[in-house]
Amino acid sequence: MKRGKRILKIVWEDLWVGLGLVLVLCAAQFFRSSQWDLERLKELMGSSFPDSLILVSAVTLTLMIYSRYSVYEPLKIFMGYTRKNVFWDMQLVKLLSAFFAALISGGALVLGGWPLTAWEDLSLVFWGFVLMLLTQGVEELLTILYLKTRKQWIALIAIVAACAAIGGFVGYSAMAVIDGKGLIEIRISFLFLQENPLLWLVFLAAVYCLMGYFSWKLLKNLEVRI
Amino acid sequence: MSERILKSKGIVKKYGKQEVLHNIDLTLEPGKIYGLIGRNGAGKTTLLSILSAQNPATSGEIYLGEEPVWENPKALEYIFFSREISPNGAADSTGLKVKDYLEMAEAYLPKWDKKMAEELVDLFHLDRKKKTLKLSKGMLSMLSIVLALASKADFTFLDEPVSGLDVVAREQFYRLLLEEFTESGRTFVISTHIIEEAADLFEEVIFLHQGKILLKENTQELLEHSIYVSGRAEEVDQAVKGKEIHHQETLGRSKSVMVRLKEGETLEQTEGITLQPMNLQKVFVSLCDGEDG
Repeated sequence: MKRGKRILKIVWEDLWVGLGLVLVLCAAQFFRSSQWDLERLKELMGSSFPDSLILVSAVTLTLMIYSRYSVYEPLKIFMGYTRKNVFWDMQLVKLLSAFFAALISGGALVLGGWPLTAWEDLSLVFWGFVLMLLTQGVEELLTILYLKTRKQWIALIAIVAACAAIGGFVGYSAMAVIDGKGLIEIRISFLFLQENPLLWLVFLAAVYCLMGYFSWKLLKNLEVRI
Repeated sequence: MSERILKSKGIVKKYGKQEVLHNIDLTLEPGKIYGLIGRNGAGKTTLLSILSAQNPATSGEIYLGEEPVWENPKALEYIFFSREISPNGAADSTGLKVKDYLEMAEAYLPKWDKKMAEELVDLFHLDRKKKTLKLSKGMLSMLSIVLALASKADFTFLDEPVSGLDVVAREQFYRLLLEEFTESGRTFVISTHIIEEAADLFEEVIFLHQGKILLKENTQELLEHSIYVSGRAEEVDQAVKGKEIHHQETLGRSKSVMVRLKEGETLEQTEGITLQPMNLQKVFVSLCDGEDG
């Protein structure tokens, strides 16, 4: 399999976890409501889906990063793949996973006919993309640090936080579905970033690059255990 | 088939303050089967993992021909280290299956021989759908043998390949290895504890002891030059005077020593002493004992 195809396969495997979870919850909302028509479906797609997908993907993608680095990447190095290739493949995977999650989220926003009244609505997609990149970057650094030091608590920090976030999201959504509430009202807001978007963007990009730099510094001499 | 040699220069490996490999200079020539022999903790796995760039050395260089091996995909095409798959390894915690390993090997090993791998999996009766977590030690060894042989890498290293294998499977492995060696002329480095069984396979042996190479020599010549001398102490001392001796044992008035003859040296059979040939295991034990002593 060619390198590009391999990367896209990984991106898809990583993406469907979050996407599947959000789709199941949306389907549950749809079937729980008494109104089973296209209008209702569009309303659902436009309302909770984009925010939910960004939130859930920000978490599930981090778990996938942990899984890849702790299981598959050592095996690739065992098979003669260089650490440099492993690292750059992973940068592409992070970027593309976040990009596609944001794209699907934006697509749902537009197709759902949600009133795009303000810039803030669309900026959700962009800052969601940034959020997903950052959470993956943090997880990448923590996982490599764990692989370097073999201190279990470092890996547990992120795993416990991610599992708690997913558990909270699923619990909240499930309760809303069971209670028969119309829509799951999950709203994320990046309004605080809008006050000075360029400065924030530069700052967050610098943080992301710095995490990438330290990840590589630790990865390039990592001991492989399989 | 690459005719380049694999050469390490001054390999040092430290874990914290502990130095486990001390300044290793090693040359591996194409078309040979090497036996890498050492006690537990001698540094065999560490050395092989460094030679194959799976793990970094603290200092030193490894070259395939003129090309450095570290982080060099072109050189790594020719080298594969099929290490022992740990039943408690990270890969097993998520339940990877035999077929997952085979798929990864197909994706990442450039010379992977899929047909051969499938035949070997069938020969060893490995269940492709079985999780490696549920495989016995012997089955894990079989999987690492499949990976090693089907990798078709010019330099293939096997770490304890017969560990946990029953006698039938071990014989199968030795036969397969010889067939593959005869057909392809690949270089194999096999680290093993079961020395005598595999001794006939090795064209050269490398004895690794406490992170240092004690000896690297043609197996046949080593055995021809290693002699066990026993008899009355005074006569043994007289017979081995000026020779390289190892592993002396004295029991009452009797004495036994291992003698390593240099090129052209001979040992005369005299009255009161017995000269016996040595097998590889005894030579190894005697040399290690001499170092420890």
